[in-house]
Amino acid sequence: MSKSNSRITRRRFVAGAGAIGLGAAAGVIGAPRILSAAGKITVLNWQGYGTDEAWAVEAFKKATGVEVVHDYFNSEPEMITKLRTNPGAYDVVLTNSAWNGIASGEGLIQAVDTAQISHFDDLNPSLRDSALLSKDGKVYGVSWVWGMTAIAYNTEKVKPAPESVEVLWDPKFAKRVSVRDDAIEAVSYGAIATGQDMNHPKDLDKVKAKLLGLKPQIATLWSSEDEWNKLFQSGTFDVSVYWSGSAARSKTNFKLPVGYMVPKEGGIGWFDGLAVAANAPNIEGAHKFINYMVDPTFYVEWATTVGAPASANTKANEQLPADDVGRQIHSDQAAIKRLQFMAPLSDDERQTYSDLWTEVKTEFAK
Amino acid sequence: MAVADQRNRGTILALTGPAYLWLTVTIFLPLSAMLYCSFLDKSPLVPQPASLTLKHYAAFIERPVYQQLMLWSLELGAVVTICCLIIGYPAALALAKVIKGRWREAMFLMVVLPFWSNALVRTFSWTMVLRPGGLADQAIHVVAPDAPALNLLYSYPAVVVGLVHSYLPYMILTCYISLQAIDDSVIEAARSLGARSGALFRRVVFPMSLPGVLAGSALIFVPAVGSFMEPRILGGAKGATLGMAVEEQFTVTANWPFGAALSFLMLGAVLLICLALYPAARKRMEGL
Amino acid sequence: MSTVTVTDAVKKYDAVAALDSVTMTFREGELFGLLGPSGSGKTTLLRAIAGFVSLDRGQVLIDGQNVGGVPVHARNIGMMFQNYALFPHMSVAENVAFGLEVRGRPREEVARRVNEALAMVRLGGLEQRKPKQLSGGQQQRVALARALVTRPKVLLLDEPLGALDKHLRQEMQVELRRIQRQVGITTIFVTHDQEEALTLSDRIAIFNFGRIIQEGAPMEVYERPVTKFAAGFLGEANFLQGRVTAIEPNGLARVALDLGGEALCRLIGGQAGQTVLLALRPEKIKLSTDSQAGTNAVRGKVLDVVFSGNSTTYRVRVGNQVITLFRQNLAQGTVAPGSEVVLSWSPDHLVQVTP
Repeated sequence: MSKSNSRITRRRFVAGAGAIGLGAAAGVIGAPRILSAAGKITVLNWQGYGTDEAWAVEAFKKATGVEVVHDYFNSEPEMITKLRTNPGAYDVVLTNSAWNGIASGEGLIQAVDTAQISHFDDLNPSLRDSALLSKDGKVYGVSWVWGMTAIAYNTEKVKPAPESVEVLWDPKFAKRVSVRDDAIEAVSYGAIATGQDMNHPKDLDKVKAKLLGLKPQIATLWSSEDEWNKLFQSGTFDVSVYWSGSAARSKTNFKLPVGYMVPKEGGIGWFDGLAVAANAPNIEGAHKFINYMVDPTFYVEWATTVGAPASANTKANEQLPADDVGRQIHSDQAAIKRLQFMAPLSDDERQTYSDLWTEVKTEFAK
Repeated sequence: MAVADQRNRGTILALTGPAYLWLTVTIFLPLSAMLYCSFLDKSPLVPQPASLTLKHYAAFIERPVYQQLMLWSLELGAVVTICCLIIGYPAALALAKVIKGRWREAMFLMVVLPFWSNALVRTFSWTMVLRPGGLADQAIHVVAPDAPALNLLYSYPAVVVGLVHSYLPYMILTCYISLQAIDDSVIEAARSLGARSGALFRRVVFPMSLPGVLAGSALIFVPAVGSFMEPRILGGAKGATLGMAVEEQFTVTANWPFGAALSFLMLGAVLLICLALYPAARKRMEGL
Repeated sequence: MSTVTVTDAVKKYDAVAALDSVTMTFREGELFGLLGPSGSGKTTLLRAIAGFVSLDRGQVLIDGQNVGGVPVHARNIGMMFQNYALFPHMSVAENVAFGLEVRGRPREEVARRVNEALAMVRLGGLEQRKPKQLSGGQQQRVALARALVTRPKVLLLDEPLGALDKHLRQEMQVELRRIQRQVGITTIFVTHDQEEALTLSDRIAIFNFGRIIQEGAPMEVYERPVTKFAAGFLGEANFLQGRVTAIEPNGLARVALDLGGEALCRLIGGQAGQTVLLALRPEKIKLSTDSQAGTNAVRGKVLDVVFSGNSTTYRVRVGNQVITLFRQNLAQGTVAPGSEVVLSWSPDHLVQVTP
């Protein structure tokens, strides 16, 4: 009799303890959501790309009381996927000029209330008012930073300084050239080198033939800034296609003999805009954050201590020290005029360029 | 008797259940989802509804570039497996039959050492060895100062070296297990019957170690065929594989169905190879 | 049919001598048993003849040829292992054919000789089976056929019957003798089982601590052991210690036994006053309830009685010693424990042994 009693009591005890434990866990998990709806924003961006700088997040919180939480993506398609599959999870989203239109077209981002952006007038007009960041006359992305993808070369090995994109095909540099393993970038430069519109080249066969001509030139392909630095430092290549901000960093931080030029035939320009996600839980906080991001105090700190692309805020650029390499590269007006800016591509175009690049790489490997 | 059987079945279920549940949830279900995805004409994460199509599989047949990449990947898998066999089998033989005691433990540690390191770090450290001016180049020039600069990096051999380094332990371990299971008395019996080392190896030791060889080969061939990281880092522009094309479909074009189709075509190719070799393998291993 | 001669064989493992100067000759065609406890050196000697062990000192001669540097595969021996060591991935026929095939014999000859070998061990019809499908006894026959098919000079067997159950063992003992006689090959086998050694061998040698204690025909070694160890290892024995009191004119010696009473026996070079150790086998002792004690007869009390079918074992306390004796079952009934009895024996059955 007593034995069965104690068994039931033990079972009841375990069940009770379990229930308490579960309840406590639920409480702990549930609580923060209830507490912080007022003062928090979620930012979706590349990792280590300015918005998640610890000092910036802290300064912003002090000034506005809004806490900043981050989620990251590793590719633009991933950014779009995350917006699609998590409605209401994000407040601020980084959209490249080529992707803003895609996001606004699907209704993943909402129009920005430019009245809440105090620095809006200081932004470079060609970027600020760009059609790539707007839809139906409304602004869907606040232009934030911009840069170029052009030719970076080793100033000690390549003399005199090159001016044409044909330097990539120069037999003098056989097996001393590197390009990024990116289909869009490769097709773009193939188009530029054959005198075509880099976003929608009409003659793809010509582009492919031109790229195939790189076979004797290529030492290897690079895919990250870190890899580029290692390859450059070990003397693997002399001439490459590279990002402007990254080239500035390499010269400043690693003291590498990097020279940078935009070919006379043209170069790739790109800019990023900060957008507000559709169904953002904290629209006010989102606008405050975007405004802080285009604030010169944030930008100068970011550019001088960590390294950054050029700011869309002309006043912010002017506040950089005069000898800042990045400022020098991004002030070259003549070079900027030669740039073609990245535009949205349809899925079919993207697939076609990817297939083309795969075929070119396969030829490289034979 | 029936009660005991039932309890037995219950015990078996309790012991194997969690493992099968795990395999189902983490492998079978995602793979089935991907297989379904490969027949859709649009990525499943796009809001527009998708319809079923064979066009991604057709693209493989229509475009020679993907067939070329698949062939290279299969070839790479085969080359890596054979290199691992040639290097690993003698090592396993030495470990199993020749080296004893403390030395054997020390050798074992060295064999499994690659497992302790991160795959990416391992691969990158090979770049430091193989590039001109790297460790291998310096070593050669210590011995032969007039030799030309060694530039093995960004070449097919470099890819093979990196992959063999990563996968060699599997071959050594599986062959070791098979070899040390061979009773010494069987080897002595063969010798007593007049077999010299050559016949002993060919007719007794190697056939008896076949299960280990096949297990090691399977463990190496399958991942080597799908590799794209080592070919990329060590092969540079020469490191084109089908895995590279699959990765592009998932990161650049967001064409998941096509990436899935290429993956399953690769899986199909590997399965066909295994099915083709199965009857011969089974026959050889009868009795072991 | 070959002779094998071992001269002054020494083999040391670290400080332990597995073979401590062993010299012996194995005659043509005989079935020779090496008997001894574990670690006595018998297996080491067998493996030295085979070539798996190289001697530190001494020689092995097969047909007068020194096989010292000759590797195993060139010695032309046949060996059967305790666990049979059949090749699991080969069929019975392939196993048996192995030795012929590595010698490069033509295919028809190989097939013919394999069939003959399998017929000889009575395993016809099982050619295609794999070893794992055979019973223990069948596997042993295959191992035997495989060893014999190459017509080796010597057949070496390592504990051939150890793994078999009682009936199978008896069957195989008969088979082994039959085949050995039929082929006429010089055969040396190792065993720790004294019954096996007695039943199978033409001659045996008892080993201990790497040395030969005694060698000879089984009956000779059994009836006339030289040492206490030999007497105790091959069969059972009671050991009676005593002092020689007198030597009779007919050459027999009178010995005062420590357990009481007197024994009369034949000694070699016995002298009065000498301490001797006498071995007496249990089956040679008579048990009687109504005899008198006397010379070669002592009184004792039965401790226990064990009936084992064809005989009964008695343990009797005599003085300060317990004597064991076997009494053949002639349906005479058993003597109860606690009874007073007289044990007696013939003087010829007392054997002097060195301790």
